[in-house]
Amino acid sequence: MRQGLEELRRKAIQDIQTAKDSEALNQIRVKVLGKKGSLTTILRGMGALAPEERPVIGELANRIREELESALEEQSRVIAEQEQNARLAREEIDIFLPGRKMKIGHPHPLQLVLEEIEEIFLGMGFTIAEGPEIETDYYNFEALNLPKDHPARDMQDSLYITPEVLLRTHTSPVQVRTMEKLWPNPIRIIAPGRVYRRDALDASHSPMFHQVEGLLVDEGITFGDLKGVLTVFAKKLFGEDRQVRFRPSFFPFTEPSAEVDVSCGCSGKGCRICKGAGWLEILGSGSVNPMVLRMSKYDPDKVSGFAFGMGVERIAILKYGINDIRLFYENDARFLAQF
Amino acid sequence: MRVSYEWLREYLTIDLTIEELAEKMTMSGIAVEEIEDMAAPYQKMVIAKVLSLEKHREADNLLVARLDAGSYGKKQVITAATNLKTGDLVPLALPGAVLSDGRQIAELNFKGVLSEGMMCSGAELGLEKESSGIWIFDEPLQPGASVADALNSNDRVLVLELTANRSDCMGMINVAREIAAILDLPCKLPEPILKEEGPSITDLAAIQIDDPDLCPRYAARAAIDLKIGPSPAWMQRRLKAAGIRPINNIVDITNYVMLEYNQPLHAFDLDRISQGRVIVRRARNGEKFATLDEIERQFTADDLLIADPGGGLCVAGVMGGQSSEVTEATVNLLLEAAYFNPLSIRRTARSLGMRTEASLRFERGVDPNNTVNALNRAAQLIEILGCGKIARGVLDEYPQPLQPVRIATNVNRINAWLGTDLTGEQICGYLKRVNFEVKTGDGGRLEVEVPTYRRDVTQMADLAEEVARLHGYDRIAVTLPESRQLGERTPFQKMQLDCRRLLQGAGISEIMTYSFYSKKVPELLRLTPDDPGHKMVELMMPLSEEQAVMRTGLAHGILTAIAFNVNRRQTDLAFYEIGRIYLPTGDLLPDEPVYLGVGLTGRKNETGWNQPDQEYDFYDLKGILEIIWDRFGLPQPRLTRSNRPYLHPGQSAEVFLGDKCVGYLGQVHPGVLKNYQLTKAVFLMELNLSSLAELIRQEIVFEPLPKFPAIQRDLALVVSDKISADQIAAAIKDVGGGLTERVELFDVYQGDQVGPGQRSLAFSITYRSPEKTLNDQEVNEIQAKMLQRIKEQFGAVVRG
Repeated sequence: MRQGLEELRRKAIQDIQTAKDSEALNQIRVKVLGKKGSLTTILRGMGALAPEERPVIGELANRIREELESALEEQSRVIAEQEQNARLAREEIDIFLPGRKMKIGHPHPLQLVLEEIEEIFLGMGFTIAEGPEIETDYYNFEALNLPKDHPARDMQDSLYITPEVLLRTHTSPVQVRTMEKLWPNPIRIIAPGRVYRRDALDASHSPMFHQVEGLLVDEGITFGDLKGVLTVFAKKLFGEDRQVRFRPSFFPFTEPSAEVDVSCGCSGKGCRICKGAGWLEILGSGSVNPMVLRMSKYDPDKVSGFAFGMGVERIAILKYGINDIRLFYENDARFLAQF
Repeated sequence: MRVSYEWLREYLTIDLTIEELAEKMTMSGIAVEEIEDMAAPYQKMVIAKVLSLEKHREADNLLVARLDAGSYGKKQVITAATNLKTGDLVPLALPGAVLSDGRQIAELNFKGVLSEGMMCSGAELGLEKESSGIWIFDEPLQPGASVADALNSNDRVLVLELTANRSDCMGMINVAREIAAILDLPCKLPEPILKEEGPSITDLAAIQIDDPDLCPRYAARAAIDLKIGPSPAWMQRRLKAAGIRPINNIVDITNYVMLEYNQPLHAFDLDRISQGRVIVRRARNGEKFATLDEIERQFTADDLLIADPGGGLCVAGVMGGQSSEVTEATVNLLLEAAYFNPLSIRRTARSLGMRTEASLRFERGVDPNNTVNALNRAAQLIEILGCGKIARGVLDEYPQPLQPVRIATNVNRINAWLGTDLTGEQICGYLKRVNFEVKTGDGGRLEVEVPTYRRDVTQMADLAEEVARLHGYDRIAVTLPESRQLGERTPFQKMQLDCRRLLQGAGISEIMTYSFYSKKVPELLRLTPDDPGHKMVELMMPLSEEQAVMRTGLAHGILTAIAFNVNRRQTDLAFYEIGRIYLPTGDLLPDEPVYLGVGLTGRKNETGWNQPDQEYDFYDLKGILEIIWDRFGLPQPRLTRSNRPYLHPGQSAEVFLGDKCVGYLGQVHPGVLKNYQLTKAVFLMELNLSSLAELIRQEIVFEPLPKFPAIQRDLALVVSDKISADQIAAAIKDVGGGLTERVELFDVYQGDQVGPGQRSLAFSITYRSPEKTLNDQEVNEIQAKMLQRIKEQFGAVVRG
């Protein structure tokens, strides 16, 4: 009987270890350990044994049962793992095929540049002011020291709605409106928006474009402050490594006036963007003309300030190397997708 | 202004290179746009001597010329010219040269004979308008010498880009003064000395100013026994460098002095002025005469004329007249130097469409105290160049002389304006360099007298600018003013930014379109003639038909952008624009509300092997409306069917908040699509962001997460298709009180199983109490009440 048990054990272990799947393993379990299994069958012959042998064989039989059960468990784990591996192998896909892209929208490049400009000035304590695009002659010209018949306000250059109302030619009227609104408080604003000129559309001109105006009025503001604020701005926008220079110029509403240039990314070696000049003109600026302050009731003996203005299209053209202003308003999807 | 460098050095000794000078001028306020090399047109052109001339073997009309080009060697050139003989000195353009008409010279093979360049005519050198034959030099010249040297064309020209305040620099003397100030150099100016060998001018002419408001000063000199002929070569060269065509000695002298003194002069044939009497007066309405350009012109009382007792002679400050023009036959001359009112000249020049060198200067304002100086200079040149004798004396009517501007300020004011720390001495030094007279007083007091040629300087800030630019903008220290406020956007500006982010996240790209468009747009959008959409803000003189009116909506811009892309085979598009529209009001200025426009067409997913192939439809557009409402916490909108003529009547809606229409959405009407050459469906929405902004949720208030479980029930109803799902959902919520947390429509069915005019709406209802766990019985009771109500109100039955 002992021999029979040993033989059963050896055979069963061998079967378990060679079982290929959980189904086969289950059959072994039933065949060996089940109620009608071979182990039970052998143990039924216990009655024929000598009484002193019974506990010994009984113990052996229990040990074999435990051993087989743990072998079954072990093999079941091995098979489960094999089956999982096989499934994973079957599930292999071509990871080199393109993914399923979500459709995302793009910002317009002018809006991108505008927000960048706004963020820089917001960081320096400026707020954002707005004013009408269809403006009175008074705010667009007269209050900015551009009286009627001034050469700089030719009918030919402006688009009029009535003799007294026109499409604003610059964002500067917002300066005047803000001074009227905030007098006698200090002012620190930028004013972005659309402006209009009597220019036929071509690669470098557009009858409509965007400007950002700036105005700072407070006690003790100097031309040195203008240089400071605009240097910070130009370096933030174009890069800390760029040089900034201030060149004397003229605007009727500022005195002294300055054009602001940044050094070109080509470092003066000459390129398509700066046309070899080494400098890029980015904005016009100046100390607010005392006459303009006075017209808006500020006393130029007590406060002073500076103003500046820049073309957003021009900055976008310089920043991205865009070669045709018309691209901004055609809205070609291939153009927009680049931003 | 074009400044001849050779001419400039008559007044100044400059140690810098011309490039260095240009840089200094630009950085001090007189921008040099370009340095033009007068020798540039003659690059690769040399003097050659004709050695022999032979007929071409193959062509009777061509000659083969053998030339000696000095150090360039012997050259063989083919020509068709017939005016050459052996020994002539001619200009030879070598391969690489470029002629004034842009032609490039290269070696060429003419029927088997090589031509190693080209002999040039006067026209090809830009020396004369028309030529017959090759230019032949009269003077002895070395073969191989440069043509630029032979023509004495070696000058360089500083092309100035003058700002509106510095028109004084339209005269060489003022340019020289300016450079002297920038470089701190002495400057030698002409001091005309005259012989005056003619009779007294008072015996020859008289002046009468009838309208001194338009002509504050009028001065004249006379000359007799004129010999009209060409002016000397040096004067012609300088005029050409300045861009003025030489005509004859008298005209050239007036132009030369204008360029030098920034004072336009006019020359009259004195014998053709009736009684020698010059009358400065306004024109009579309708008065006519022919100007120098041979055009008969008509004037009004706004125009100032120079007349004689017989009638108008000349348009004051703008253009002379034919009747008194200086010709080869002129013997006696009257020279005018006047100061005219700039606005009057500007108006006249504009209304007549004549912009001349003279009117440009008068418009910007010349120095009235310079008239006699300029006359004297012209008279001196007439004498020196032997053109005639000068009459004794000057006629000069100047009723109210212009006094120099005086500005009282002090050193501290100027330093405070600039942010500098300059001493009084430094400031006075800079002001004296620009010839301002400065008196100093206690406490840094300054009294400054500005010369009358600098009429742009009237106040302290102008003095500060003179100081700043001569000191150097780059030497003013950079400072940062402290801010007294926080920089931030307004709530509406934030809303627009949030809206952009939201739409970009939803796969929609931003576009920008023009604020103006054609008057035909309402027609393109199928608006009926009585539609209020025809009321638009119109431009007085639009640049083109396409830019005649201001937009009253964003639809046209979006459809135009879609059409532009579709024409380029890009048919899957999702665009939005945020921008102002312009609505006429009864007031002076129109309304400019900010609108959001959205346009969708084509496939809504990216294309690709694994992407679903779905096209945008109405509900995508409505979904965008819903995420905007959710994002900004806007009150529930009310939709009604839209009857806008540009929308599909069955797939469009008006969006109301309360009784205010805040926008619309829908499929674009196929008739409109056709007008934009579009064929595929486009879905369009416009929302008035300015009105929505007033209603957005200001603060987000946190709602605690639920503590008790929810019970979910589905409810399928059959109801008339005239009843909207919104109405039923509202009733369900109403009956449920606080216990219906969520009502969602999850299925809509219309067809055989529900009968005509009916449809099935299936709602998923979530019940939850904030206080306890609900049980089935409680929910059953609510749902029974709910069914009762829906049955009574809408005639709905539960779908079996």
